[in-house]
Amino acid sequence: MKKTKLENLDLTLYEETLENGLQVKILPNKNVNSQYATFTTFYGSRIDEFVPRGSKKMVKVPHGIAHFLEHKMFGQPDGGDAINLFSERGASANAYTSFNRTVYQFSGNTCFAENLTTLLDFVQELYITEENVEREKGIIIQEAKMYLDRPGSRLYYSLLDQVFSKDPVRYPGIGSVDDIKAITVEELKMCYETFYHPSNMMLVISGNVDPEETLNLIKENQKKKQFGPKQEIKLQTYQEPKHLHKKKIVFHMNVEIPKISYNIKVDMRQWNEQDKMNRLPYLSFFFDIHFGTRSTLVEKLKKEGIITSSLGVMMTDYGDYLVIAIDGESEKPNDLLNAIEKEMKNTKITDEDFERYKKILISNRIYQSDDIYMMNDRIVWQMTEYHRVLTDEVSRIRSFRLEEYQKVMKEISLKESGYVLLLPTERQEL
Amino acid sequence: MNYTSYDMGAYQVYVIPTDRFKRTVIEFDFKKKIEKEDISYLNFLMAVLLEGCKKYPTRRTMELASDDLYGMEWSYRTLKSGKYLCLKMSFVFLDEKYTEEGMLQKSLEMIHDILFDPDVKDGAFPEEKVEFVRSVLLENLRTFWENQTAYANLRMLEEMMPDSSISYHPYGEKELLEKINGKDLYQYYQKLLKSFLLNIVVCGNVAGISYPDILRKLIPINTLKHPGEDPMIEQTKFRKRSKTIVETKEFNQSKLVIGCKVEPLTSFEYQYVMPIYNYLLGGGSDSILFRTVREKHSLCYTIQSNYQSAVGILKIFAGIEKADFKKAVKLIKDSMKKIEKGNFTEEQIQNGILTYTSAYLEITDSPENMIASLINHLNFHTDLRDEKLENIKKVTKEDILKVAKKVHMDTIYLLEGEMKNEEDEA
Repeated sequence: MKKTKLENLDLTLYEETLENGLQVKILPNKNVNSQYATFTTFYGSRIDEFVPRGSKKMVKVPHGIAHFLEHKMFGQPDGGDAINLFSERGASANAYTSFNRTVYQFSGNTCFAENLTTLLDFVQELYITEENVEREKGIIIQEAKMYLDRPGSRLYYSLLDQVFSKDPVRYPGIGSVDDIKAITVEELKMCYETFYHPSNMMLVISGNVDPEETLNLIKENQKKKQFGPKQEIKLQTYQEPKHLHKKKIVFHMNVEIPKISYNIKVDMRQWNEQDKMNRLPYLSFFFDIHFGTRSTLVEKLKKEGIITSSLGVMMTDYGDYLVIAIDGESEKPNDLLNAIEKEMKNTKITDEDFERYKKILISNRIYQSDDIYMMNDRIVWQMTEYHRVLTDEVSRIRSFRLEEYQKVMKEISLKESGYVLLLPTERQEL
Repeated sequence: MNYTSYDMGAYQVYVIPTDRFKRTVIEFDFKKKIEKEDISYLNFLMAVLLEGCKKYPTRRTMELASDDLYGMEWSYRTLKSGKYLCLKMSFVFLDEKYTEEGMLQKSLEMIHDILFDPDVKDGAFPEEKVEFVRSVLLENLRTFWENQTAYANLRMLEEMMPDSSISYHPYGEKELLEKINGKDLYQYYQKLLKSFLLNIVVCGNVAGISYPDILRKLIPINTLKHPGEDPMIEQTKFRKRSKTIVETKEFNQSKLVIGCKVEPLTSFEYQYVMPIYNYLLGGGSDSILFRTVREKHSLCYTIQSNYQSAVGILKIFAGIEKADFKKAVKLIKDSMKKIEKGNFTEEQIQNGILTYTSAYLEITDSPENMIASLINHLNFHTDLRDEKLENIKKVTKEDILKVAKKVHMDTIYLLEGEMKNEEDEA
């Protein structure tokens, strides 16, 4: 097992890739009682066209199928729910599906070996029937409707549609009601066979565990199971243009105050992984210092009565494109949009702000290192994003230079921008 | 979990030593017996207080100063807790081992600056800040219903307990928020210092640091107070038949909230038996409600129950189709009867006990959990971790059957979702 110290954080990371391709990461922390494990397949809601395992032909499946599969993975041969196997030991389990991964997780503080075995076993075996797939549809449709009532989800759905024109990431990850209704047992099985092979998966464990014992347990468990050979998965590619799909989207729903999301599409098609690692942190310097809670912009907008609460800043790496969304709510959405546009032209950062921000980044890492959940989720995120765990984050942050920031900001174009505006029902004018 | 208590006269200090974390947390736990206007005043005061202090007169300068202390964090929340209104203000900072020498002293000074040296002139908070905070609080009140779950929950409580503090709006009252001024707030601030009961809990690596001495110098509070009274609200009036309220708003999904009153219970019953009852009914994916309403009949994605011991109320919540309202209510009633009749297994009880055991073990996994557990112990005389681990094992089926008879369905509230046609333009 490869051992790496996480510098300044008093933690050691253990890593190994098993024969069947499964990547294992273990981050022990003896200061807590609990254990937390995440089992990730690098398969998310964005993928709906691919060559299934054992086939040569590209197929298309309904949107929302990755999330549907997540629900059905918990099904047990006796009709029970795998979640209950965990609760029988006082542990809790859950799962989520994002555009680029599906993650199964459990946390608990007794019977770790049994819990881990259950996690591996329920995710590595699919039990579905026509009947239980049909029944699940009613549940998922209610979940979809719940999101449709949330202004934040609706703003996000519109953002994806506004930014992307070809990439299926532009559809809500849960699918539409019609998509959900159309999903079949065969399609679910096909997605499962293709994307749940160990070589497309990763297991991350944090908390009160012994790394050697844990790895042995995993190896023993995997030895008993048969998987097909490792294969490269062929996905459909899309010629996503660098331009926004739509310059703006205006829509209505039942809310009290207008909400906006100002969105920027950054073309990263020419960047390699190293470029991303070098440039993205500097971009967050810009957006956090200029639009974050401590920005002079937010202070000014509050003073002028344009906003009452801070703006949100979200940066998401969609592979070829980076999307930065600045969102806020305001009775004067036009004034807010103008102010954001104006601020986008001012990339200046003082030396003092720059150094202070570095201090915050470092202290955040230290705070997080006590938290087995955040540390685990961070490993999952870094593996999805960079395909490696950043074990030298603190010295990386210390090495950031203002001159480099200025250089990076000159290299990157932030011109491709537009917005989504959500207005209260029956309000027409801005 | 060990702690040491110090009687400081006007307040109490509790120190929980641990070297397992890289941070220290200090929580100020103020409380007073609730009167309706307290909620508006306290929310208003805290929001103004955090808009800047004398030394750092704006929110931004105060935040930047905290950033300079390696991201010292401060936050507060106000909440109703039985008969009391509580203010929990907490400060978190890293150990000097991970930052630099002198940071502890500076962090403590910052606490003093924020809480005890406010930006006040001529006995009033600055008009500009007061007006800004007023606009924020009124907007929060105005947008409250956008969170349909919270809104439906409050509406149910208003119908169930119209004159009780239980149904006071957590954001305060519009009329009052419109007229409170800077002078009123400063008077309320004095009241906070002079008449609220106060416990302070410190949790972290305290080796070589005498917090009682430090806090005595830091905190200008020296008024002695009468000890508080029993904080529990007991339910004594019960309906023979539950009442049903249906209201309509423009949403996709309908929200069902059912309020039940629970007869007064013994300490063992409300600490251990009712939580297991709640676990069986709607505590998680293993519960009777989840299995019946969601898994068997696929009427919903979310269904859960929740028990609040301090006010003797059990709530059931589900997001459903409006057409399924009657069916869902019937299934919920049947599920409750099932428990009353003892239609559950010993194994299910054991699962509940294990779930709570696991939650208790997690108490010592973070300073925040340890502080919350100690504060509960101080306010409600609930057991501490080790006693909890022992006592939860004693819950029997007979105990559960006994409390099941004491749960009375009172109010059924449906926020009915009804969609008009939506038009999107691009």
